Amino acid sequence: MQAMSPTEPGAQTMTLSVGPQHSGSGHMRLIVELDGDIIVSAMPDPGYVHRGIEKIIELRNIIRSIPVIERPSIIDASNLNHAWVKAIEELQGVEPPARGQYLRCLINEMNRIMSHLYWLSIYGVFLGHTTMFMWPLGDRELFIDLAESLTGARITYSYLVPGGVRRDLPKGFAEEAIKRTKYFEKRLDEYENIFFKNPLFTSRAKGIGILTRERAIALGSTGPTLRGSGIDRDLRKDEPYAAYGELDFKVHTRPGGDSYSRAMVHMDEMRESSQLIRQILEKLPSGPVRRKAPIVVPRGETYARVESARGECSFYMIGEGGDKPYRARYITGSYRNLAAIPEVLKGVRLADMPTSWWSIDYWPVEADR
Amino acid sequence: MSLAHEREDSLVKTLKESFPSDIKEATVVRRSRINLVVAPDKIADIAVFLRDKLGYDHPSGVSAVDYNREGRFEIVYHLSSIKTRDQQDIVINLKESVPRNSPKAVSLVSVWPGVENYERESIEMFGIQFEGHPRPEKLFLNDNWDGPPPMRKEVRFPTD
Amino acid sequence: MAPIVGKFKAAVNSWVAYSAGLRHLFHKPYTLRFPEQRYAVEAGFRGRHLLHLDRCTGCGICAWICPEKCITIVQRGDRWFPQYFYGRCCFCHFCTDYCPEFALEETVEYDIAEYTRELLVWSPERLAKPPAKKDNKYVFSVNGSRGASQVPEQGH
Repeated sequence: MQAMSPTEPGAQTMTLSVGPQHSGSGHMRLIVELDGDIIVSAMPDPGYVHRGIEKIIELRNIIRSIPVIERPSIIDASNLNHAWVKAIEELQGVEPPARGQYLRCLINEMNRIMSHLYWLSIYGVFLGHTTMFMWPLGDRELFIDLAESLTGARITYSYLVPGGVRRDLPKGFAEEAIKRTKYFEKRLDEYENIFFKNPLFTSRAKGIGILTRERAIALGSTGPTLRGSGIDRDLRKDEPYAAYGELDFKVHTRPGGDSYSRAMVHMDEMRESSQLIRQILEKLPSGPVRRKAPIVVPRGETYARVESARGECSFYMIGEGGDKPYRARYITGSYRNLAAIPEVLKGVRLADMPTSWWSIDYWPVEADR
Repeated sequence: MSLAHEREDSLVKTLKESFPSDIKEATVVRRSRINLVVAPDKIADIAVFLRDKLGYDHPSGVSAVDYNREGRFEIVYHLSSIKTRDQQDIVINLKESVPRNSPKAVSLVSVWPGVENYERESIEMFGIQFEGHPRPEKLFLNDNWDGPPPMRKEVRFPTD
Repeated sequence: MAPIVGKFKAAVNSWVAYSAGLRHLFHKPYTLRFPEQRYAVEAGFRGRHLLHLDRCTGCGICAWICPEKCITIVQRGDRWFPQYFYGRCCFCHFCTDYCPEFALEETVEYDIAEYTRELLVWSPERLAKPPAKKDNKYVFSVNGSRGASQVPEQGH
């Protein structure tokens, strides 16, 4: 469908502010230019939940910053925590013991599933499918409960510290986790039946919100947004960290570049993470979980990155020898995908706006920090 | 993974041969990380060379650092490559320094469209001016923010 | 022919979707009616802190490491003890980890809500009281055939 160009005589566009009070916009604002029913351009206006985290972490020592670092994406807290701790360990030259690395991968994969389930539930409710709002949040409890027994907290764990992790596995964790992941994979089949194969969804999502391969690369997108356009890049395979070099898993991509492809990449990743959890528990080595590491940021600079649920989360950290970093630049996956939102919404009907832009999995708090 | 860095060394050699007088410093910091320090007026040519000839087409972010004791801001472009498969883990940090009392730099949005949001953030947080930036409005701060750029080192907020 | 095949496939997928949902119509919901039915948190849950007054030396490391600066060191006679403000505490328990005398301990008590902010400031004596026992515990369990639900905890 061709939108009428606003420069033609007699054509004019209407500016609509899909603001933070709208239930289909998340906690940020989209300024949308409409020509009839078709979006000519959409400009995101983030900043509603900006807390100045980059300034805060220059003023606190590195242990006191850990709860602050996790809060931008509370549903995916452990991956962000891992990026912080990886940057500090690269500057200090400390390597955690093997069991600590495996436990880090375990909590990271559980977080990936939890974050994707939260994304899926909000995606369902944006499309009016309230069953898909309730089911993933209910099944998320399976993993929140497991995380509670491992770390002590339900969503923001503060579990990773420089040198390793804070606690070891409790008794009976492995059997319970294996039981739950097998049940979860059966539930994923039910999700496919009720939502992903449902013509009410496929007719609304196939071919909508195209992000071509070239634009995805030039805009710097990352994570499932990049993999949904057919590019197989995943930091767990490209630059293996923690125990990912020794684990066996696939990177899932889909060639379409539309909302359906990105949604299916999320589904495939959930299945992969579920089998990764079982693999990690099987291959877990014995030994200590934590090594001593000082509360100091040595002189130097480093660029550390991990694959969080929404993409690459990276820290560019410069130390000057105190207990606080001189500068810690924090770039999260959602911040990188912010550039893809105007691209995805060009030429889409207004009613398809939630389908397209939420399929990027943009979490406003993570982008604003 | 081997600890040798032949790919990084050959990249540095190519860059030094193509721009013998413009690159101030090109070092391999460790495996998969290259630092490239250039002068602000030559950064656009080097950026186009990196994107077209070496295949560094994927911008990973832009950071700005306030070195107030040395009187400069340093703008760092983090770049990675998707086109070349065997350089998948290399990140090039392209750095330029601008003086603190007149912070003017050239915007690289025409080279990599994805750096637009990061440059916008540096404009409002540090007060750096990027020439040629298509949309230099405030990104995260309020539209009516009238205080100093918050991330500068001399701006203090009540700490705990 | 192809449009008819497409419509037939859509009809079949719609029927599959509806039946996937209707099958759950007669399952028991798992919503607990708090506070009559309480969820038994896991054994390692991080709730409020328990202070051992005999071990505390008043060194102040807990106050230094607290990310939210909720701990104030107050004087009792010639000894010093921590006082907690639970209005800002994020229950990270770095204070428990870093105490050199092991004077702080984690408890599973989580329902410490009050009606006024002043009551959320816990004096050292209040922190030293052991946590109250609660009943009506339900646990989360995954049963092969019935799926996930909250069931009463046996044997407690």
